[in-house]
Amino acid sequence: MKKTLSLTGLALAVAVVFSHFTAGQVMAGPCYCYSGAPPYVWVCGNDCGDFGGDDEMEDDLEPGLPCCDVFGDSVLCGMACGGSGICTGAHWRVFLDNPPYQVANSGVFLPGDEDVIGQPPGRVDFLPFESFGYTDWVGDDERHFCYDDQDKVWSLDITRAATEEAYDEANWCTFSSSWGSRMCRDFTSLLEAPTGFYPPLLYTLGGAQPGSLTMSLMRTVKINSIAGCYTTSVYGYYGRCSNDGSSMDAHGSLSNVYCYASSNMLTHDMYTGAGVVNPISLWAQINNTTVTRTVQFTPREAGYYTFGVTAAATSGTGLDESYITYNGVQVNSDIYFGPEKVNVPQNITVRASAVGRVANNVVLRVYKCSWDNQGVHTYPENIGTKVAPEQTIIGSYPDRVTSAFYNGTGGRYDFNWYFRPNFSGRTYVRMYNGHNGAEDTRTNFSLKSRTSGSATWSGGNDPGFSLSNIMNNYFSLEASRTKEYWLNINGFAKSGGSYFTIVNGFRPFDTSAEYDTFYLPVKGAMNGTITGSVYQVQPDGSCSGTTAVTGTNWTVECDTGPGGSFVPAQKSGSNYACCADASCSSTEVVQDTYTVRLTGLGMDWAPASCSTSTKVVTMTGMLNEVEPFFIRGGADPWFQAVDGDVASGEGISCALPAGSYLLSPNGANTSGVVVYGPGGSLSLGEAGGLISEEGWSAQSVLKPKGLGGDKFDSIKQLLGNPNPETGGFPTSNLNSSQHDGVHYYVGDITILGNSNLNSNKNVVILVNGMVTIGTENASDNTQISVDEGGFLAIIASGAIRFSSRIDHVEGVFITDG
Amino acid sequence: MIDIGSRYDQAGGVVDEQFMGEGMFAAESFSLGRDLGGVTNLTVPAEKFTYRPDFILNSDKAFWFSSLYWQEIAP
Repeated sequence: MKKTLSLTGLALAVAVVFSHFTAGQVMAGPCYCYSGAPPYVWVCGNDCGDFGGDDEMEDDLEPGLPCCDVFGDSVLCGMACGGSGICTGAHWRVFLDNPPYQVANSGVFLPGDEDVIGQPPGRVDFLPFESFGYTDWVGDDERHFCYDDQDKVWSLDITRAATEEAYDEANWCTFSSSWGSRMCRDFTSLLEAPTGFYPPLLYTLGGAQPGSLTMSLMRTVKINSIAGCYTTSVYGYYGRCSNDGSSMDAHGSLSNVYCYASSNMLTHDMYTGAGVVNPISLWAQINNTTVTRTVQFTPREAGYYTFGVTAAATSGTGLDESYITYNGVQVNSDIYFGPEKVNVPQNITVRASAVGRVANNVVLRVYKCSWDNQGVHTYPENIGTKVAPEQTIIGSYPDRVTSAFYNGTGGRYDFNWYFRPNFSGRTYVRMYNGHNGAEDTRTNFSLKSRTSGSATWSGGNDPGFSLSNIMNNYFSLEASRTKEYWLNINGFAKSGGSYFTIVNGFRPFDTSAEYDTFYLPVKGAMNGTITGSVYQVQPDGSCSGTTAVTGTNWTVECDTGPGGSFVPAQKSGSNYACCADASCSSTEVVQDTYTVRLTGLGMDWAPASCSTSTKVVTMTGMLNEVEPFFIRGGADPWFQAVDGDVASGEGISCALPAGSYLLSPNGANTSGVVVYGPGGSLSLGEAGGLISEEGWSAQSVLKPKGLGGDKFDSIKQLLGNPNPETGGFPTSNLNSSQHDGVHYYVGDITILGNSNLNSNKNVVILVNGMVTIGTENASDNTQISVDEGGFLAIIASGAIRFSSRIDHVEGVFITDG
Repeated sequence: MIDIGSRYDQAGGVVDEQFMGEGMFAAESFSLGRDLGGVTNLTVPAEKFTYRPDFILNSDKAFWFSSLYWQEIAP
């Protein structure tokens, strides 16, 4: 490989991106080295010696060597690079002398005020800068997208000449004897954009003094060989307008000048004008036939110019193109008008500049050209946006940012697609022969992968990456997060050219860890549903099995997407299904994960501890089945005695929950004893309830000692057989003096209201009848409490009933019932 | 009978409050109707009876000799 470096006089070396760039005249200046990351290779600004034919340039740019040696004279350059005078990498970037960038980059460029002049190849099949999003792969000679990564071009020509012939194209391009074409395809990103700027749409013009720049605008071509192509009219105007929208002058034979306050048409942004925007309109109209019409426009001063073109469809569908030329050479990519762009202004910005200004420090990076391919088009992962529907891609120009056109017949072409680490998802690509609407069935594809950070790509399928030809030329890609991937598809252009394009209708599912943007330029609808089940845990509490639970006992709610709410899932038996909306009218997937949650459990049910109540589902296809939710049933009600005994002359049955005690100590040192009769049994249920911590129980004949007959009569007798009260049961609370002592009532009584017996109260109520405490009234607040020192006994011959509203009573309650 | 009322209605979503009784409760039969709902029932007794020994000390002496009679039964 030949390396050349040429510089004469006091001119400063200027970067060249690829062979078709032309270096503008630059002036000498001091040497500046930039030590910040990423490692840049600097071209010094002084006369650093004899640069002509410097075949050592490539070596000089290798890491570890003094950076200024690239000019053969580190002494004159004198400035350290990479912080220690050593080039730390080979990250070549073109830094143009554009004031907005200088400002945005803290004056790194120390510029004059004009540009290095770059000029595009002017070939119809070149892949324009617009097709590349800005990328910043630092210092890694593997991170380019050329087909042959072993032949990265390190050589470049630095010249002050204004023509591309000054370059040593042999080092940039090569003949491919196989295909008979001399092609050079090497692309790079330009500048890192400051906020509000978009580098791929910035193009720099040069070669004329202010006032003499000429640009041809809008060659509009009607493609009428495609079925369904529509009649297109493209309107534009040129001239200059003042800030208030009034016309200042007009140019061209079609000189209708319309001025707009808006910048939808042509705007001129004087970069020195701090945001001054003067709308300038251009005009041309193309009718139904294939017409090329050029309108000349001469900028009055250097600056940024945005050209706007609007296509108006009158029938059918189809695409037209328009582009901007500079001195007869196309300088921007075609602007395509698909149906989605009808009546939507398409803008492209160029930079008109004057020459003879100084650009002191130019940093560049270069990626190699393809050696043996007619075209190697590289697509960084952050390239574009939505493509047109597939149907409209066939037979027409696809959206330029997501596809590439390959001209010629029988030419070999490649489509390289790089997946950064952390990509996880899938997409689908497809290849078309654009002019006859048929797929290019001769497509081949291959994969390379490497662990992130590794220097070596390896071919073949990787375990973490699957590429399958799932349907004709659709390819499904699944990637590992830990690796980078490089997909290469190549084929042969058919007559009239072929296209690579992305199939619409699929959607990427992940975003860049670094840029938070979609990795893949495919945006389209994808449908999917989430299905799952709700089961009851096993008797041992484990989350397994498929024991159904009636759907009335649970609800599953589904996430409806960004900004949406949760809606109930569709239920069938123990199964549920989630749709994209509450009515299940849509299954469109709009995010990569969805949340489903278990709610609405019946009062006898609870989430099982071995299960979760929320699940996040990653959408991987039409059917996305979720692990089941498990819930457990509740327990039957039970009672408990604290500090005391439970005794029965017969049996005792109470189904306790697992681990619960029938008898429990609180103030007492131990639990009590449970006693049941000789004919009865003690049953605490099957769940595993326990008598007490001590487990004391007794089976015994049990009867009140010393009492004969009914308890009511016995106690009444012990209390001296008091006479019955004649005035009925007082309605006052039990703490009142009306209730002091022993009172005997014949007939049913009802106790209402709160009663708090003081410590000096001793109340015994004998009732020959039924006692009701409280009512069923919702507002009932009847409670009975007895302070320590006080006493309350209610002895009834009939039942003693506590209403459902009673939650706290204290006293001795004895009944014969 | 000592009847502790309930208004539990699962269909209506109504559950009871716990019945807390302190003292002594004696009857030929009990109807313990409270239901706190299946999930609460797992950990909370629907009726909780707490012994109050102070009632013995503060009661009329007529109650003092009434005690349980224990009789051994054949194994």
